[in-house]
Amino acid sequence: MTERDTALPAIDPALRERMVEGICALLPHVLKREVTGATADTTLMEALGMSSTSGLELILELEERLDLEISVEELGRDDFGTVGTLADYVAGNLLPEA
Amino acid sequence: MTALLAVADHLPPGRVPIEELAGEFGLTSMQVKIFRRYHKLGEVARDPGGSLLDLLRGAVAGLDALRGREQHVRYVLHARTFPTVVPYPHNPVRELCREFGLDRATVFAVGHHACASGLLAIDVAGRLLAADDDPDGLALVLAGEKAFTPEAGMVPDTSFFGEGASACLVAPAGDRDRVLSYAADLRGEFDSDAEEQALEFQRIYSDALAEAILAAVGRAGLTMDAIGVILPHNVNNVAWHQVCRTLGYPRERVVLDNVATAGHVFCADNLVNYRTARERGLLRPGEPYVMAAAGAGRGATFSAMVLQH
Amino acid sequence: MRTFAPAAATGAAPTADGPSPAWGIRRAARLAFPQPAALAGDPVHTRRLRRYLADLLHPYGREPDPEALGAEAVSCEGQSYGEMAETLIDAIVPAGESVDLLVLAHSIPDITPGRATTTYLSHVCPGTPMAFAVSDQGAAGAFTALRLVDAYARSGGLRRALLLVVEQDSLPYHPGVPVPEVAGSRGVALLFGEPLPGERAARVSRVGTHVLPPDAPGAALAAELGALGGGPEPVTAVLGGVSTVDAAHPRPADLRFADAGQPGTGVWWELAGELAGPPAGPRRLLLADHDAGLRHLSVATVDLDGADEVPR
Repeated sequence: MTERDTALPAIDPALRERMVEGICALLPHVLKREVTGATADTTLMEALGMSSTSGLELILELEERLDLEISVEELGRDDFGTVGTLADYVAGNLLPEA
Repeated sequence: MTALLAVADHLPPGRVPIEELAGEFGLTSMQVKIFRRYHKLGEVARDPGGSLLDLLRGAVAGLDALRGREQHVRYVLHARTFPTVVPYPHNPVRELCREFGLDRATVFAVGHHACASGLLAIDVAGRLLAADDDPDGLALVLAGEKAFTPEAGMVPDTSFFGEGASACLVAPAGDRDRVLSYAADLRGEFDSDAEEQALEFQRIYSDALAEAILAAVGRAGLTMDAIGVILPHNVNNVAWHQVCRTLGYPRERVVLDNVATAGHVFCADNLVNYRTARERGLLRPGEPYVMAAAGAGRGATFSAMVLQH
Repeated sequence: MRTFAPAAATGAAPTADGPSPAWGIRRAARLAFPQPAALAGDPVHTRRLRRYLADLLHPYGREPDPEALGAEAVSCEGQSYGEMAETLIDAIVPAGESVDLLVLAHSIPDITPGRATTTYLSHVCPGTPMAFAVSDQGAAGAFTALRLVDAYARSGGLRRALLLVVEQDSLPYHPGVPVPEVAGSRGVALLFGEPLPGERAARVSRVGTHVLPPDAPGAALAAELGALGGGPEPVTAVLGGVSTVDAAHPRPADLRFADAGQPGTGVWWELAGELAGPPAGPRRLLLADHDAGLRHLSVATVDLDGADEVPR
């Protein structure tokens, strides 16, 4: 059982791609080391050794970098699987500009 | 069956926002933002001029059911997150007993389950009373500590400790609140400074806590549907939201109100949250509920207890 | 994961999975630890310990002894109960066996005052036992722990149990009040369970702690000795913290005094010695430990070599 609706609104592919790029660009800053070759399929914890705290930091940095607001209420461990799953979460949980 | 006759808690009036603690713990503003935004930690209870005795006294003073029953209290237990909280051989709990006329009682500390030691103490007290064959015998279980040293001030990346205390009067039998089951998962493999172990601990934390809850609920012959409310330890919201996802349990029924306003009050959280649950009308007579806590103090323990209100 | 149902109310019939009448102490081990712990030589740990103790002592207007644990110290004296207990576990748990419950009793803290030691011990002890510590009760703590071993066997289904009583000899500060002196770091382990074929377990009974009125323990001790009952088997009283004057008593029991330099482990050390010795026929030991600081008299009766089966 999850707390999400089973039918998600379709995510704009261009938006998702922007999120993937934004996340990849921030990896070196958050992990404090060089990161090369990261793609949407790169696993955050297994391949990159990202801790849950760094993952949360990544979201906050993404907000600042892209000038967006992201709702964190539904954020779960599964969203930190890969760069792609995180991008899916972010793209699907943007808050409208006030 | 072990029963909690009465419960009381005490939070000192002082509050310190976590931003003020950032300097002491070398936290960046980003880390503080993460705590506020995700973990929903905001300010922690602090009693700057007060002692451990002051905290415990505050809780016991609120235990109305103790008046007139002092001579029946055979045991006073102090449940501790940190095994050593006063310099041996000083013992403020014994001073507390003198103040409250608990002269018959033997007094000791119980623990090594980190923040889950409060639940351990209830189980220990219940078994001692049952073995005594005295239906009027009582035990006083105390929890609460001072954030006296940085190790007792925050848990890196996880939580901030708050100062406060709880007290409960345990009886060998009673109608309410009855203990239905208790589960404890001791994970001594996490007694290590190695970073790999710390990461692994973070990874398994919510799952292990969920498993302990399921084990206790199963031992009580129940399913999660029957559980009216969960009284958590105030570690943070992120961990508990993940536990709810794993259990399929609605997060609205986990009493997380005090995370932001008191912090993680050592072993006393479950009973602080009991008071909040009662105030909010969340505890219904006859309905089972869960108290759960986990801790790491060189080695980790995940525990849960099912009770009936 | 261990799950428990609460203890049944007093007076209820014993549970079906309680221990048999033969249940008791199967084995005992006692060890002295004359060297400091391996951890005592670790500079990182020493700094951490110093900070912890300094903060612990600060509200009492005190600080760690600069000679024993100064600001620049890279090592300390003293033992770790985790290290001591691990050695005791290796010595006492037979190969291939498991333990369900481990209870550690101590009074003086060790050099890891912030560590959940028994959780670590659960990990290294075969059987991943339920484990916890009892402390801050002087010499009586071990007797409380013994009561809990018995209680968890009867109501909690944990029949294979390990009781560890430990003390260590280093206190790197002056507490401002008298403390009993510990002459050396020592530990005693008692393994409880159903005896295997060919084994006989020593049965333990009448375990308790008296809170004494503000006078000498003589009267309470006399009452305990008198209550041992007129059975034919010889009785030895093993006395801790009791002077010969207080022990003077009309009942002719063999009196043995535990080492005064072992305020926490003394009587248990003697018990372990008796249990490890060759069978000497049915006999009864009364352990009586007096903690003058707390004004407690703790007692326990141990029946050796079938004394509990002797007809009365």
